[in-house]
Formats: sequence, structure tokens, C-alpha cells
Amino acid sequence: MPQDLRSGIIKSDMTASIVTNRLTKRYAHTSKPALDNVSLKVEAGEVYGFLGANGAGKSTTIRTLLNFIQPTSGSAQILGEDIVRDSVAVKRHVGYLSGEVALYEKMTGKQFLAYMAELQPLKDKSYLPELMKRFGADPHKPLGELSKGNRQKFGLIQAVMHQPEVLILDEPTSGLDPLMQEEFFRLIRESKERGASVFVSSHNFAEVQRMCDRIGFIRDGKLVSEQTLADLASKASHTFTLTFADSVPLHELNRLPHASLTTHDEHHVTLSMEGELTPLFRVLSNHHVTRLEQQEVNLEQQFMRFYREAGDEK
Amino acid sequence: MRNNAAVWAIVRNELRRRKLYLLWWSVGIIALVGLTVLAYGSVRDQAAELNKAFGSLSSSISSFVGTGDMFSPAGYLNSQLYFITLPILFILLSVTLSSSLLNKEESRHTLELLLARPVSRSGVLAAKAISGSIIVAILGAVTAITVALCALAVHIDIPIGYILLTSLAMLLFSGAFGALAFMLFAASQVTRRLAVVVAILVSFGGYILTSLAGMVHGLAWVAKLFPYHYYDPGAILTGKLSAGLVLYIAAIYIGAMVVATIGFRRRDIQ
Repeated sequence: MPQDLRSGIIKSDMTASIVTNRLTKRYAHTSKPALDNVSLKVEAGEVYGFLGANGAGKSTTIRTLLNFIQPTSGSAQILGEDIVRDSVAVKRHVGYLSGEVALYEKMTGKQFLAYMAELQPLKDKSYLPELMKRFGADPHKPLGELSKGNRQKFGLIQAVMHQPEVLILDEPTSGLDPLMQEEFFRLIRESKERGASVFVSSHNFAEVQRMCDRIGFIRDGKLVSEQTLADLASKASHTFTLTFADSVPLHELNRLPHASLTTHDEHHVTLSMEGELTPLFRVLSNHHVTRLEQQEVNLEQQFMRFYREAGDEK
Repeated sequence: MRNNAAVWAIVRNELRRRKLYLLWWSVGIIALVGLTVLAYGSVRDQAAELNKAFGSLSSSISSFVGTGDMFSPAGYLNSQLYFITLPILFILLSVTLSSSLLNKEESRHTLELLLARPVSRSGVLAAKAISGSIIVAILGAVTAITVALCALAVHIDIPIGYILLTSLAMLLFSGAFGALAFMLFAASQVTRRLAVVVAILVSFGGYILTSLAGMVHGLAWVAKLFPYHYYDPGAILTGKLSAGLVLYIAAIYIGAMVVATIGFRRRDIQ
């Protein structure tokens, strides 16, 4: 990232869709800020995952970007326009899904979407029926009678139906069944392909891993780390289960840097190792290895560890 | 231009949602007003005697009903409808309605759906104010037409124009408290209940103060601060509209909208 998380200064960039500069939100009667000098940048066509525990500041960031709440200090721009001063202009290009989807209970899905389209005309009128079909949304039932998942579909459809350049989504897959989640991931890929930026908050790493190019982690209102998935993978520890024809060379393996061992019996050992793997293979080349199995890299574990460390440092 | 289209879309939606509300209020008003005015037919012939009998009541009682003359055509409409009954009805209507216009959207989080679209906060506020005004105006028109038609039916000898003017003054006077509640909720983050309580206290507190002002000497100047002091429907029914009332009402509406707009544009949405 072309930014220093500690100084929090980000230079304005013509290619960035969302830029926040030391964005801070402090509520009256609370000692700690809900949002503390958050500086981040989302490039055009990038899918940015915003991860954090409940109450970490994800929704506050999103609500500030949408100008539902006003920043105490700092600033933010979406497509180069100030989120407070040019709020109406900003929203011409934004699609938003709130964390707790609120809809007009007595309206049918069709009436609701027609109302939303009155407030923000559609660029392509054929896109709405296509979305309805893809998500299998029932347009004739009152929204108040729909299940959480079906209401979420209408929340998603209203957010994307005008094909915005920037999508801001708060916990978008909440309540969706696996098939609809797949459809949603497809929708995100399509949005990315047409150049839209997506800012998506979640507390589910697996979901973020599926769709995001980059992940920011917020903790206690502070952006504690930003990583690309590739960065995470490269820093993740690799875990191997090794089978030796002779006894496990414990003495040599224990001397490997950043490695930890779990022996199962005389011939089997599980070894986790971070970073460069050459020293391991140097040791193995001196022994008769009959089997080597690599376990899948657990990015979530790695990310959580990184998050904890980054949080503690801060 | 786009903002205007969005404002009218919000207005249309609000009116659609409140169709039944409007219907039931209309039915209630027609029943109440119709029965009250038609009942004049049964007292008209004894008006002189009744006025004589009630004329012996103390001035304090008269000040609470707005007139010492309760049975002349103008006195009857004033004491039975325009001085207390209709203002109470329309104050309650406008205060509860205006406080719910934004509150409902905000407490159910649908306000975020509106504000996530390219419509300004002042546009949303204007749409809600226009919706509330249209609803109150429709019910005011229902009231005025019912009074006028029933007055014709029982031969109340007051020009229709004066009845319409008094209904309009009553409507604007009562609606001013709705504007106050609207302003309180929009500009600050007070709860809907608090906005309603404050508006009701100002309205009925003002009524009691104005009524007592004739008896308690020191209250006269305090009463001048409240709108009820300027509200004299008995005079309007005879064609005399006080400039003080017009100014007071205009000041409240303009002030309320200015404060509501400034406050709503700056405050956090809950």
C-alpha cells in the first residue's frame, strides 16, 4: 500500500475510488473514538474487504462514508468528491447495502424497487428484471412477509440495480443461502469487471477471501493492518506431514528456524514452518523420506495472528 | 432537477402509505363536525334565552370557551368548534403526524435507503414537510367543507367565506405546533415522545395561560408569548383576522423550517 498506517496520510490519487484521510468519529459521552484516524484507499476496480469483530468500527466507517454520520475530524472522498460537502453528487455513483437490511414492510418487492428507481433512475432498465431472475426474488409478496434471506436479496438488488461505480456493502451475504451467496460472488466479479470498486465489510474471513483483492482489518476503531491475499499467503506458515523410512531426525529438524514439530511416532512428524523452505529441504535431502504431505494454507489463521500482533503493537 | 423529482417521489410514497390514515381521520372529522353543527338546529330557536342564562356565568368561564356569546351562529361555531374542539383535534393530529414523518423512517432505518440515493437531506426534509402539510390540508378542507355544508343545512347565517377563513386560520394555528414538533425531531435527536410532549405543552399550556390571563394580572404579558393569545376565531367568523396571528403563525413556520433544515443537515442519523 502506498500509505503509512501509522502516520495515516494518504495522498489523493486520480485512480482511487475511495480515499479516507485520518477519518475520525467521536461520539459525545464516550471516551474512545468509534473511528480513530482511519486512512485507506480503494482503487478503481478493486474489491476491498473490511474485516473486524462486532463493534470494531466497520459500520461506523461505512455510515461515515455515506454521510449518515458526520466525521469529527479527517476527510474522505469518493470518486474525488467530498463525502460531506458533495454528498448528493457522491451518491449518484454509489450503491449501498446496510448491515441490517431495512425495507418498507408493507410494500411488495416490485413496489419497493420501483420506488428506489424513482429516487435514482436506472442506467439500463433490462438489468433489474435480470437481477430479479438471478436471485429468484418474489416481486409480489409484501416485504414484511419475506424471510431474512429473501429480504436480503431485495437489499442487494436495490444496491446494484443502477450499476453504480462504487459499491459499499455491509455484511452482504448475511442470511443468503449458499446458492445465493455464489450468485452474489458472481455479481461482485461482474461489477469488478466493469470497473466498479467494492468496499465490503464482513466478520467472515472465508467470504472475504472469496471475493476480495485486499483486506483491511479494523480493531477498536483503528485500521490495524492491510494485506493483499498474496501477501498473506506468502507469510503464512506451511504445514507438512513427513514420513521417514528411518527414525525422524528430530535433532536436525528442531534446529530449523521458525519451525515447530509434533511427533506422532518414530517415523511420522508434523512440521509447521514460516518463510523460506530451503533449510527444510536441505535436511530432508539427507534422509530417506517416503511421504511428504502439505496441508492447505490457512489464511484465516494467519490473518488472525497478524491482526492480533498488529493490534498489540498499536 | 433530479433532487426535485426525488422529493416528489418521496411525497407520493408518503401519501400512498397514509391513505387509510387519511380516510379514517376524514370519517371521524365529518362525524364530529357534522353532528356538532347540525345540533345547532335544536338550540337556534332558544339562542337568546340560552345566551341570557349563560351570560350570568363568570368571565373566567367565558375565557375558557373563548366567548360569552355561545348561542348566536358565530358564538356557537366559535365555542363548540373553532376555539377548543377543532384546535385540540388538529394540534394532536399535526403534532403526532409531523413527529412521525421522519421518526418512522429513522427508527426503522429506511431513512438510510433514502439518504443513500442522490437526494439531499434538505430534500428529504422538504418532502416530509410537504407530505405532512398535504395531509393536514386535506383534513382541513374536509373540516371546512363539512362545516360550510352543515351550516347551510341548519341556516347558520355566516358567510361561507368567513367559515373557510376561520377554518384556514384554525388549521394554520394548530399546524404551527406540528411544525414545532417536526423541528424538534428533525433538528435534534430528541425522541419522538419528547417532541410530542413539548409541542403539546406549549399548545395547551398557552391555552391555559391565555385563559387565565384575564383573571391573573401578571400573566397578561406571558400570555402574549403564546400563539393562543392571538387566536380569536370568534372575530375571524365575523371577518376580522388579526395581523398578530398571521405574523405569529408565519414566524413559527419559517423559524421551524429554518431550524429543522440547519439541524437535520448537520446531525447524525441514528
